[in-house]
Amino acid sequence: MEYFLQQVINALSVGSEYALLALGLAIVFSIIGLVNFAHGELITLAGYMMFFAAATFVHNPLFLLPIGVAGAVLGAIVFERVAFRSIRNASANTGILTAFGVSIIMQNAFVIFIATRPKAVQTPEWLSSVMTIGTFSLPVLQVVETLVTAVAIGILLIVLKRTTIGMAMRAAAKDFTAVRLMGIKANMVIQAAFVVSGFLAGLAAVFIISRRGAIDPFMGSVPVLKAFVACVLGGFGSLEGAVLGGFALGIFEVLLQAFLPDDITPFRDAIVFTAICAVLVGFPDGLLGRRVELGDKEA
Amino acid sequence: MLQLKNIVVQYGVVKAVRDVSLHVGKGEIVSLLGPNGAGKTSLVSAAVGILPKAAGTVTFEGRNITRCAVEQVVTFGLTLTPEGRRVFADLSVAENLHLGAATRKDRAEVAEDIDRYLKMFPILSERFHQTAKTLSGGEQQMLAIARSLMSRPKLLMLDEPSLGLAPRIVDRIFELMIELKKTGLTMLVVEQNATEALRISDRGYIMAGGTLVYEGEAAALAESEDLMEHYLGGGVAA
Repeated sequence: MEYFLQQVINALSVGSEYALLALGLAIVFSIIGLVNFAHGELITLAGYMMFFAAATFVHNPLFLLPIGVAGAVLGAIVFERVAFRSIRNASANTGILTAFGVSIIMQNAFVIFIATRPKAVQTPEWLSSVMTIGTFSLPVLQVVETLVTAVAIGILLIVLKRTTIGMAMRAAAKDFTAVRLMGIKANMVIQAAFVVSGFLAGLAAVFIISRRGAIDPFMGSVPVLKAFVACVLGGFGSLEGAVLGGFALGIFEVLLQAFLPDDITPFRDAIVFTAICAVLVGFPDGLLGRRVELGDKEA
Repeated sequence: MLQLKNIVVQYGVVKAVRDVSLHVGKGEIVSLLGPNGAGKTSLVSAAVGILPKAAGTVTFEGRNITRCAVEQVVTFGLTLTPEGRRVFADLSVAENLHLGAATRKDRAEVAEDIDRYLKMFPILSERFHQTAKTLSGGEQQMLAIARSLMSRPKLLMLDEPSLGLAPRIVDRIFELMIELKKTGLTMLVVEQNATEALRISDRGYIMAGGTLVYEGEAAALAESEDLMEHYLGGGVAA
């Protein structure tokens, strides 16, 4: 029973990580049609910000966490301003190539100016400890990650529902021109989308780094791929789809890892991707994707 | 109030609007008529800044707004209700209206305006919390107009407000425009439905093949059977 519960919370926390990242990808994609493959570098950036803060002026590891999140938000703002704004009206291919370019430049900048080898980053000790609830002992990190993700998604929902900028973001996902006709600045809506995606990536980064305890220049590559897969599974551009896809992917991975016989576990990823292919045969637009309602972006 | 001078709009090598000049005076309703493909939508879209102009100048209340982005033009008091309504389908009626007022800071007056337009368009009040996609075409058009009014425009451009609507609804929309004129609103109406539009207009322009082919008093225009037949009745291919 304890093993089962541990695996459930483990699955939820991995699912949370994917959901946070996928949601960040989806929110930018829904508004400007950009698949931001440099999203993973926000995680790396958060890691190096924490590393430098720790090396210079921050001695309490607790304060490193908000610095990591801030680093990712800042990175997202800079990526948008420097790289993506000038190609906003270009084709989707230009966007993807630019995103890969940003990603490659960032990774190599980390290699050249910092180091290829992993660097240790300290996170608060309590985060890596184990807590006991009744007779069960659960890792604090995984419980916190799941809760924080739930709260973050809740806050995002409130922002999207209640604030003008949130409504504008939802509206812009279907018809950006009409949003501009309301006098709402395109730059503001897009920047807001990047801030949200950076914030979510920052949260995920803090947990990824706490789990790994170290950072390296290429640490963002795998998470962004997982997030991409989660988006495809859930339906690209759909925010609900991103969350659903993230959790589905994370939970499926962990459950396979936990309950498959030992000699089959090396095939875990193959099984996961085969299953996703099977789902896509049935739902070519992803679980919650909707092809028909592209609105004015259809042209 | 609004002056378009020598506007050219170009898609690649094709000129959709060739050297068109027109003006709208304060308090007027002006119709811009013409068959499908005449360049009417391109002209008004370029005027508010959602389409680039290859040449020409746009002046609004003495201010040169040729190079202004559409977001800024709205703050000057020039708003376009676009062709095809383009309400925010997944947002509620309330949210649509709220976004229409996005440039305004005066929350109390925004709330008053919402009340006013809910009275003017009672159907929107019934549908206040429904998503816009659940509304009928006519209801969506009313929402689109109300949403535009929320920005408190001095001049409202309406692109094909009667498109695809039942005659009874079309009448209602044109009645609303007369009501709005009484409040001091200036309007430029793009229409294919010439007879209806001229009935409520002070002046009219006719476009065909990207150029202006006629301008004059609405009454004179409506009586000129030749013009009506030639450009508007027979559906001349542009």
